[in-house]
Amino acid sequence: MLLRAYVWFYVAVLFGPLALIVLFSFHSSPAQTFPFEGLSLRWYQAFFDNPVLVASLKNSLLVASVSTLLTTVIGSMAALALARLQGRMREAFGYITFAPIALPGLFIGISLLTLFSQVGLERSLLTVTLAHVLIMLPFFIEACRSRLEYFDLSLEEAARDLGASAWQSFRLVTLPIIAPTLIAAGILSFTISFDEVIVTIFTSGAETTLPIAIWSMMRQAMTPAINAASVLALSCVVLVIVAFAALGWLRQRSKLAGRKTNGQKAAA
Amino acid sequence: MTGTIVHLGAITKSFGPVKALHEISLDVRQGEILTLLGPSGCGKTTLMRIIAGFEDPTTGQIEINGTSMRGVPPERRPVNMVFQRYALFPHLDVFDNIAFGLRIKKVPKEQIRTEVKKILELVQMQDLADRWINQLSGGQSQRVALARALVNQPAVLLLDEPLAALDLKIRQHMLTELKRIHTETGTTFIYVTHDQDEAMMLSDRIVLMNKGRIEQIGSPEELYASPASLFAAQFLGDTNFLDARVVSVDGTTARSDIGIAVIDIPSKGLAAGDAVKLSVRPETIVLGSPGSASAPGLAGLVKDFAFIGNRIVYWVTLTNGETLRCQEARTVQGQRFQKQAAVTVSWPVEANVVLKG
Repeated sequence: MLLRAYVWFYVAVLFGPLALIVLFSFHSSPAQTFPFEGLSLRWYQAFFDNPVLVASLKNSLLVASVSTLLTTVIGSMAALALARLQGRMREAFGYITFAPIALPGLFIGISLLTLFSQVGLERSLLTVTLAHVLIMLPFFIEACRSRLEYFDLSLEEAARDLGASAWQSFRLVTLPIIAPTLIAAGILSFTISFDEVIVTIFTSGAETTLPIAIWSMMRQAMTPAINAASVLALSCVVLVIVAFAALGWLRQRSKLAGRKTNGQKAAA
Repeated sequence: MTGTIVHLGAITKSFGPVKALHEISLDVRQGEILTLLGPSGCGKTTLMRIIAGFEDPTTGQIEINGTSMRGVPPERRPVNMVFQRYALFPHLDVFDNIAFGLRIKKVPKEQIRTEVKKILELVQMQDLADRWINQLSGGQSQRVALARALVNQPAVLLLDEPLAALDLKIRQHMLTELKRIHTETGTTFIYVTHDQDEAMMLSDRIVLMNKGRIEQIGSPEELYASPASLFAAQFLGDTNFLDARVVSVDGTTARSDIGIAVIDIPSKGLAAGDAVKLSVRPETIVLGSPGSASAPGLAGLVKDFAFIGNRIVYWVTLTNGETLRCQEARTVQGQRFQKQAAVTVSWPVEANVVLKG
């Protein structure tokens, strides 16, 4: 009984603030306090009327998508290599990969700033994207590494033995088996990029991402449009997760359907 | 059994400074079941992986169907393998697992369906075509792995300890199944195992390996009855070793001294004064009660005994303190001797397998 109460308390602490923000983003009055005076979409209207916020939302989506894509390609190859390494090399590589997670964002931000100015790269969405890839990579690799380390390499040998080339055995066996892991790690990376603040501040130029835009707005005045912006940001992330879950579910279903026809074929 | 299907010529394989195989030469005959038998680390799996194309020999030739396979990748070799832990594709169902090789070869859909169906019948899995791999038992996985390899009609089927992961009952059933499938398909099998019982039951010929070398090649009967080395005598079945010195040679028999007695052994190639080791199988030793005229022999005491199903094993200590393992079929009389019973032991001349000390 006590445990049950505790669980509800825990959930309330976790999601209470979230629920409040969502609620007040639909508030018809600018007041951020109870009593609640009625529902309205006026703050969403305000958000979409603000060109800076809309542009920053687009920037965030663009940066998160591109950096997730880059991270997935680089990270999955690194994780696969890691799974094939032996002994000390593997251990060393594992630590080196993991270390940046412990580095302060401040440190990464300043060093990247220095690096970009050294190579003459102007601060822009490109530098933000590169910075995000750097931050996401260790998380991505950590997220899929344990799974890939247990990948049975004899599956690839079996595919080769059955006539598949190295590329075919990767495409037909390895990739389908590790895809769910890569997608999960990709979603994690996307959310990391989407709300990254510290390093983004250091590396962004004239164009910024949504969290930065909200933050600079808040320094001027706290308007409920910020609530709307936060809820929109939240929806983007939730949407990505839901979309991939639905994709997985659809794949499963089409496989089941395919399985049935196979069975009929075999039985016929 | 005509012709050679796989020819290995002086194959060596080194992993860095470690030599895994020393000059292995071997001809595998069309249609036979050849077993590579040996303790772990003897090189049998390496040899099989060289045939499959997963390892390159350091030196030596390998030919399949008269064509050199040096530098030919696994996907272009006319062999298929059943992996130790099956290595079935977990993201595909039974049907798609078996169809994998045919699809790669772009076999028409209709034909894939008939061939998979045919092979499913061969391994008696026709009702489970649409199962997922994780829904299969060990024995069923084994059958799917077999079907997935055999459906490609390989010139040689390689089996890497395929029964190691199964429990005893299913293992024995799968052995008879393997024999049946071999008879029905006529495919050449190369079978790797460390289990002598499997090797004896299944093989036309056994290649006994030890420390990267071939100890002996022969039929199970040849290996059991005439082991060529101490290792061979020890590895296949149980045996007793006796040190002996040849006293005199007389035609087909040689008198030799085993310390507590002088016995007759086959004289083949022996001269007086030779030091030899004798291997005497437990089941060739005849136990008798002392004093009975029918049982002359060495005197001993029953130290211990054990029932092994339909057989009884007695450990008999001789007067010099050495212990012989003796074995007889359990008959209606049941156990004939108790612990500490005085007995005599004897064995026929031909039961002495002479090994060079």
